Amino acid sequence: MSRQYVILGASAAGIGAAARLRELDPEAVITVVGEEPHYAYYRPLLPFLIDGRQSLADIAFWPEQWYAEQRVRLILGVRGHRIEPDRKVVELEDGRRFDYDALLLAVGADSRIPTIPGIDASGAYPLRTIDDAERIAARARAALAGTAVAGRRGGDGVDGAHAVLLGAGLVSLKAAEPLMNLGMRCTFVVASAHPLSRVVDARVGGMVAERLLERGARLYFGREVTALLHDADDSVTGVTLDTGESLACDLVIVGKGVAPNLEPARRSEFACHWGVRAGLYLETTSPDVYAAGDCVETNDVVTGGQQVAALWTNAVSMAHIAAYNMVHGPEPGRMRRFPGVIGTMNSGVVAGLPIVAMGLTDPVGERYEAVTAVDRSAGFTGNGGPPGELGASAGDDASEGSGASVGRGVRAFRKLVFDGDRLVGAILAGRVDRAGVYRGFIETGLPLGPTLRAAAEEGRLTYADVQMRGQKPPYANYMPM
Amino acid sequence: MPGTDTVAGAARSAAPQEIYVVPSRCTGCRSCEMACAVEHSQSKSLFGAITETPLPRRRIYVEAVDTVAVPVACRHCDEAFCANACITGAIRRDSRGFVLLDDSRCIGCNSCIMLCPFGVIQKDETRHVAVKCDLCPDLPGPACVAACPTDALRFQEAGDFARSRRRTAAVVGAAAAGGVVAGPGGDADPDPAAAD
Ligand SMILES: Cc1cc2nc3c(=O)[nH]c(=O)nc-3n(C[C@H](O)[C@H](O)[C@H](O)COP(=O)(O)OP(=O)(O)OC[C@H]3O[C@@H](n4cnc5c(N)ncnc54)[C@H](O)[C@@H]3O)c2cc1C
Repeated sequence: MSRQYVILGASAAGIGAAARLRELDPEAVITVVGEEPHYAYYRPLLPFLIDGRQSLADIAFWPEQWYAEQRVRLILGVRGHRIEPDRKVVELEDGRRFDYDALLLAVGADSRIPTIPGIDASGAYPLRTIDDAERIAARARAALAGTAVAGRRGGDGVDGAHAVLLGAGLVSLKAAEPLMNLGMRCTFVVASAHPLSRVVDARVGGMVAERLLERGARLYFGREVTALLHDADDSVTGVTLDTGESLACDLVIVGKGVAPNLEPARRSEFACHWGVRAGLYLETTSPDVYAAGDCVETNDVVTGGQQVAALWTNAVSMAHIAAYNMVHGPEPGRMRRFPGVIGTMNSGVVAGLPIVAMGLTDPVGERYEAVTAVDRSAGFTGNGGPPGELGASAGDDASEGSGASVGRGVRAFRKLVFDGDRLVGAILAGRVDRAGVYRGFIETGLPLGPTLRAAAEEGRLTYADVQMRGQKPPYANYMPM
Repeated sequence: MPGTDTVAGAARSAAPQEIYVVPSRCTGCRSCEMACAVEHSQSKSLFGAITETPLPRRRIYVEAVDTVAVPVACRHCDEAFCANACITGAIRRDSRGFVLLDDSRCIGCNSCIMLCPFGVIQKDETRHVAVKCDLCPDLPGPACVAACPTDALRFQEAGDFARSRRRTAAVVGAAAAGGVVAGPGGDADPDPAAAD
């Protein structure tokens, strides 16, 4: 009889696993249950929906017919409720029940919504789903037409449409991009001392701040929003800061991070902590149930601690391994391992600045040594020329300034963080070529040795060095036996 | 177990053919880079290519290690991290097993560049898209391989490569024993990753 696979969650991890399951098992019955009423889509493209650069069809993961071609039974608009491992049955919210031979939890994460008075008002939205993006787009259009907030005429030094963003993490910054493109003024209210504080150091945070200011954004650092103001229709009219000051606005973006969806796992009594606990084979504490993507808490290969995965890349990689193990498990000898994640592994173009941040980018402690290099040359294009054009300098030269002025005129910046002979973190800004070569060392913890370390510090480390120095390729320990 | 599904994507075994590098044969002439850039230009001719704006870009990189030149090419990995990392669907594997980048879908986020352990995806800063090897779909085989004057690049099946390595090793062995003289450095050190 053909095997039955059930997947809860129909996004990067869920659909990635379904595709891989079909490759591995042409006969299997594959059922995917997704809460959102939409076909799977590239969630990171949501900002493009806001300013209309892309349509729903543009951001779709697969065209509609893919699901029929791949014989993936898709059940949308309903949540998986509880898993009964004893019976190997999963029950949906609407009472439907499905048998499974192996099940995948790929329920992802939801935006974290802080408990602030007024946070439920209309016009205050996170950015995580198509529905969020469409609400933001509609509100932005209304604001630009001057109809979002009745009777509002600018104020607070802002004329016209104004958005306040809570937090300046990656999602806030990505949400601001289309809003600024549309012509809205953006004000970031940030608890920390610089943007992207969870990802980069003060220096690169300063480079981002500088570019945001150039684009007309306003930035409040070390400030919290204590309440959202709204009118009688419960529509947002502004925010109050912890200083007592208030800012009138048409739209609030809630960018306070995400939290894994734990309900189905908790209800089914699987071990959870920050995320669903998954072992080396992405197995949960329930037999034949695996987990992948943003809902999972796994090993951080850099710190050795636990980490919520929270990245598209991780979601897809985990899904492929989990699918393999759903087919070949549960004997450990037949399964593939997921080595873990690098806690920080972010890439993007933020306010026009390309940034890659990996591993421990700003660790505290004497054991760590940071080596930085800066390029101010006017002719710098970052256009993939020969590596090694930045001037290297040992030690952290954060003394060049602080706050938003840090990094003025800097075209490219590189920071490598070493723990003894191991590379444990890196920030590449402005120019990011060959970032993956550095990532290989961070991921595997292989010692660089003096020659490779010198090449890395001078920014001329290439894969050829790794290969020709007789060193094992940095991914060699993931090769199958 | 055959390497059909490695985590960090190394040599693919299921793929029909791929580019193999024999570093010891490379003289650093960069003919491969040139041929690659020309094949990915609008005019597809050297003289046309050098006048184009933006300049066409190469997707194979001859890197220097001290005084030695080493070509590094895309392996179209089985578990292609670049494709897993692609947040727009621009990088996908096609039915032939080639890992291809559709630059009309690329938003230039650099995720693939961050993930590629070989450093062979780079950014076209003029068009704000990533560029990577496509194995020259309009040609019988990759332009870089055809252009290599010293046979340092080969386009063949994984199995073929291993077999031909053994054969070459036998020749080098014979040379060491006073027989045929092989090229500089002999052929005894193929790209260890590709030969894995
Ligand atoms: C604006 C934005 C930009 C981003 N940019 C990047 C980036 O540049 N790079 C990067 O790596 N990552 C990025 N991310 C993060 C990336 O989108 C996530 O890591 C990825 O979507 C995780 O995939 P997932 O399948 O694990 O979970 P999700 O995408 O969260 O999907 C989980 C799905 O399961 C559904 N679900 C929840 N509960 C249930 C249930 N009980 N039953 C059935 N279904 C359920 C949810 O509704 C959801 O549709 C970005 C995210 C956003 C919002």
